[in-house]
Order: sequence, then C-alpha cells, then structure tokens
Amino acid sequence: MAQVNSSTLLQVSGLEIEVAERPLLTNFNLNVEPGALIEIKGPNGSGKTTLLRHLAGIRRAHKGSIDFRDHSFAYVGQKTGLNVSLTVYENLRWLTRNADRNTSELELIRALSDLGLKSRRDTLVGALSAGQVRRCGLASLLALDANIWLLDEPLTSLDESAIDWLKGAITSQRATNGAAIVATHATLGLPETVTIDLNVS
Amino acid sequence: MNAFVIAFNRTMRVGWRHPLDSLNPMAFFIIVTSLISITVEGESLTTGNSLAVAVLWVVLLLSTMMASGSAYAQDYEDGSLEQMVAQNQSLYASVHGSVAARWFLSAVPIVALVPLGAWMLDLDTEVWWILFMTLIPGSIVFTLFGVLGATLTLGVGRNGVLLALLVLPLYVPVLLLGVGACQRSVNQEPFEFALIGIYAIAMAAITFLPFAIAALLRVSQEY
Amino acid sequence: MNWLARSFHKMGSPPFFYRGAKVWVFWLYVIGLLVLLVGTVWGLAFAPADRLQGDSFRIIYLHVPTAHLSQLIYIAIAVAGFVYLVWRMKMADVFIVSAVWLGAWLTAFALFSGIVWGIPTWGTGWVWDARTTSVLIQLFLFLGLIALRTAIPNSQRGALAVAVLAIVGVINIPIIKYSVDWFTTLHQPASIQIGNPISIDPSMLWPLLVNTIGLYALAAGVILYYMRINVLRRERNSEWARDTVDIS
Repeated sequence: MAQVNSSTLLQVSGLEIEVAERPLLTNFNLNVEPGALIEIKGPNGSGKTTLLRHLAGIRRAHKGSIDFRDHSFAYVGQKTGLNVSLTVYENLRWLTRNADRNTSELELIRALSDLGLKSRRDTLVGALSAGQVRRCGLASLLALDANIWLLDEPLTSLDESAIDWLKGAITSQRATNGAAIVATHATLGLPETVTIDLNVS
Repeated sequence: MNAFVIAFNRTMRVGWRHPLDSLNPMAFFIIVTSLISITVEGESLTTGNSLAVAVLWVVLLLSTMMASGSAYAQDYEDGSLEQMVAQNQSLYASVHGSVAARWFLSAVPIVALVPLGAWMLDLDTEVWWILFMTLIPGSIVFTLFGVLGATLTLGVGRNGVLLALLVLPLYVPVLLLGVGACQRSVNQEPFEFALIGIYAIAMAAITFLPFAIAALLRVSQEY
Repeated sequence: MNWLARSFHKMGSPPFFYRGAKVWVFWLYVIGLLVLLVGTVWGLAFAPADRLQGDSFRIIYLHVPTAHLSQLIYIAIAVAGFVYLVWRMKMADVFIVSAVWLGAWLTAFALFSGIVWGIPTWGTGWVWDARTTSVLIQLFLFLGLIALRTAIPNSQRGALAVAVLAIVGVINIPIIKYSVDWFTTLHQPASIQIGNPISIDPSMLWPLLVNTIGLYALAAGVILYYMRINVLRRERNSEWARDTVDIS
C-alpha cells in the first residue's frame, strides 16, 4: 500500500527542515493515501507545528518537495484565521473564497449548524467564547470540502461534544477518500492511525 | 482580479467596523493644522503660500503614515495571513486590493479635508487644484510606503517609532516634488517636471511595491 | 566563466571565506593606514593652499573621500540586498550586517566635515541643497536599516526585510538629488567629474586621490574584519566554526 500510485493524495520526498538555521528534519518522506489518518507526535519543540506549516506551504523548505498532485487541502492552525471584527458567516465565507472555492451560502450554513453555530451566524467572532472560536475554525473544514485536512492541535479548548464531532468528521472524511494529518500530543484514538514520532526520527 | 476584490472587500468591511481608525487621523490632521494656524502669524502665512502648502503636505504625510502603520497587524495576529499564504492565492493582487481599500479608508478622507485645512491656512484658491493633482498620487505613494513599513515591522512590538524611522526617509522625494509643484504654481513658474515626476513615482510604486510587500508577508510567516 | 562561477561559489562558502579573508584583513589594514597617513600628511602639510578658500579647503582631503565612500557603501548594500533576494546567498546578508555601521558612521562624518568646511567657506554650516539633503536622508536610511535589523531577531526574516528596505531606499537617493537640484542649488558643482576637464590643480588633486585609495582599502579591511566575526557567529553551530574556535 505504501508505494506511489495514481490515487496518492500527497507525496513528500526528501524534505529537509531548518529552524533558526538548525536542522529539524532531514530526508523526510511521506505518502498519503486516501483514507489515511496520520498523527504527528513528539514533545514540545520537536517541530510538529513546523512540519505541518511546511505541508501547508506556509513555510518553504530549502530542500525536498511537497506534491499535492492537484488535491486541495484545508489547514486549521493554532491561530484560527478568524478576524474578530467580522461575523462568523463573513469569516467562513472569506476562508472559502481565499481557498478559491465558491461554497454556496447553503453549504456554509450547513457547516455552521453541524457545529451548533447556526444561531451565531451573524455574531462577531470577537464576541464568541474560545471554544466557539475553535468550533468555527473547524466549521471551515466542512466548508472548504478539501481532500486533505491539516490540523494543528485540534483538541485545544474543545469540549466533549466537539471532540466527538471532530472524531466523527475525520472518520467520514476518511470514508470519502479524504485524509487527515494531525499534529497532536494526545492521540485521537481512531482505528488504523499511522503515527509519526518526530523524536525518534 | 478575484484576489483583488476579495481583499478589497474584506479590508473595507473590517475598516467599516472600526470607524475610529479613519476618524483619528482626520482629527489629527485638523488639530495639527489648527495648531499651526494659531501659532504662526497670519501675515507670514499669506505672504508665503509655500509655508501653507508645506504644512498641508507634511500633516497629510504624518496622518497617512499613522493610518497605514497598522496594516496586516491583525491578520498577522489572528492567523488570516497564514491562510492567505497557505492557500497560495495571488498575494500580489491581494496586496493591491488591501492597499486600495486602505487608501479609501484613511487617505481619501484626509485629502477631502485639505480644502478645510487650506482655508484655515489662508491658501489661495487657485493653488487648490494643483494641490489636489499632486496630493492624490502623493497619498497613494504614502499609503503604499506606509503598508511596506507595516509589513517590514510585522510582529515587532511597539513599532511606532521604528515605523517612522523606516518610512519617513522614503517619503522625501514625493514630498519634495509635491511641495515644489505647488510652490512653483504659486510663483507662476513651470511645474510640469514635478507633476510628471510625482505621477511616474506613483506608477512605479503601484507596480513594484506590492511585490515587495507580498514577499515580506510570505517571509513574515517563517518564524 | 567556469572559473568565475567557481570562485563566486567559493566566496559564498563561509569556511572558505573565513580562512581566505584573514590575510586580506591584515594587508588592507596595513596598506590602508599607511596610504591614508601619506595622503593626509601630503594634503595638510605639502599641498598648496587654495587661492580663494585658504587652508580651510584642506578638509576636502577627508570630506570628499568619506562622502563618496559612504554613498558607495549604500549602493553596495543595496546590490547585496538584491543578491540576497534573488539567490538567498547568506554571505550577502553577512556583508550588509557588517557594512551598515561603517556606512552610517562615514555618512555622519561626511555631514559633520561638510558643516566644518561650510562655515568658513560659505558662512553657513548647512544648506538645503541636493547633496546635503541626499546625504542626510542617506544617514536616515542607514539608521533605519540598523534599527530594522536589530528589531527582528529571526535572521532570515530580518535579512529579507533589510534587503527590501535597502533596495527601496537606494532608488530614493537619485530622485532626491534630482528633485532638490530642480529647486536650484547653492553648493559648488562637484569638482571631479568623469568626462569633464578637472577643475582642480593636480598638486591639490594627488593627495586627494591617495587619501581616497587609502580610505577605500581601510574600509574594505574593516568590513572584511566584521564579516569574519559575523560569519563565525552565524555559523556557530557548524562543525567548521567549532573547529576554528577550538584551535585558535
């Protein structure tokens, strides 16, 4: 299953990452197939976030290649990317437009109601609680409808029901030939998870 | 074009929710102009229209710098900038959209106040049109340099003085040409050179500075 | 061409640069100081006094070379900024960091010596003409570069920011010159112009040329000296840097 085939979603080869001119990862290779769930683990400062930011194209590696093979991705970082002076709906719409998607109003509202934010549609993000802001960030995953999800510590400030929702969402993402790469210190506990331990490599 | 519109709409919308960001520089403009017209003797202002012109230019320059100095700061803090860089949209077009919106939000209101300032400083009305002809491209350049300064100092705390140190020297050519054109027009001397110069600088700034701003936005994420 | 490309590549390699530059620093210091000494003594003691300006003109032996050199350093920094932007060559950033202080000091000295020269000659230390204004703005630009580089701790980001600022700034200097010139100029037109017959007596010119060469050599030595320090500091985690420090 590990070899590259036409259905591979993401192919990372020979990636080399430096932080403050110190090497963090050398010759890192990864193939992401449909249905995969990859958890990136490691202690603080081991580069979980940095690796994820490289995959999302926010940082540029000076060696190696990251090939999404025309597949789309959604990135939800520790910063949610939501502007406090815009409403929940405006933010969500901007996030989809920013990713070059013309998600319809109906789909956006469906994503919001899935996370229990439908009544908050026209609330400014600045007026939401921390947990609601995280939920709103996760709603963008549904709205973006991307092939690969890149999640950085998605469990932060989520309550039980939101964690259950996230597990369900990842499961259905996998079932629909998508994949998820999650940087986390606490495992999600889902079946058939591939773990990358940054401390060992 | 699409990235331009998206960024323009977003910046306008956020600016609309923070009217004080536009009103404060306007108040600053009025207050400084009145302070000068109070303290400088009436005759010395009317005898030298050039002083009034220079005052208007410098105050406009400072207000625009103040207004554009916070560009992208919020996007940097809340992670929207991360999303822009990640989704690899045309940052060049997006910067254009954002700068255009900032110009509408903060420079245009101040330029609109210039007649009031000109009246307070007893400026001859025949200078007004040349003042506008130069202030419009001038304020575009000031906004662009202001946004450049803001992206240079993204994530650097308390960046006010640093921003002034970086940006003010860059403002000098446009200031010289703008004030020069107005002064020459007061003295009924030819001023086409300065007019052409200021428009040429504005065109060059509109074309090239967004490249630099986009590159700086990208690298601001490589901490 | 192959040789050129190879030596360019070699100069970009920190350990090669660190070892190779050592001899250069020594000889540039020695030659620079000696030549500067010869030129200054010649200019102050042996060159004839100016018919109009008397002995006060002798300050040009320091003023003119520093003013020229400071401008050259600013241009060199902008070129290095361009090299850094296009090829991401670390040595270009090392050059900028090492040259920027010297550039600021030379600019400040050029302004100061200009004031000292101006008071007896024109009766005023300061004239807002093209050259004075552009040198003053150049000083502000240097200070801006220094402030920006110190404010951003991340070296990659700081280097890129400084490169952009240097390039944007360098475009400003000629524009300022032209626009002030257009306002009319009080300054005496530049005495040494390429293509024009030289309007200064050769006996006065020789010490000026000698001092220029001496100052350029000394400045190159100072910049190389700081580049060696900065490159070692930058590469402190690498093997060659550790070896170097252990041995010496």
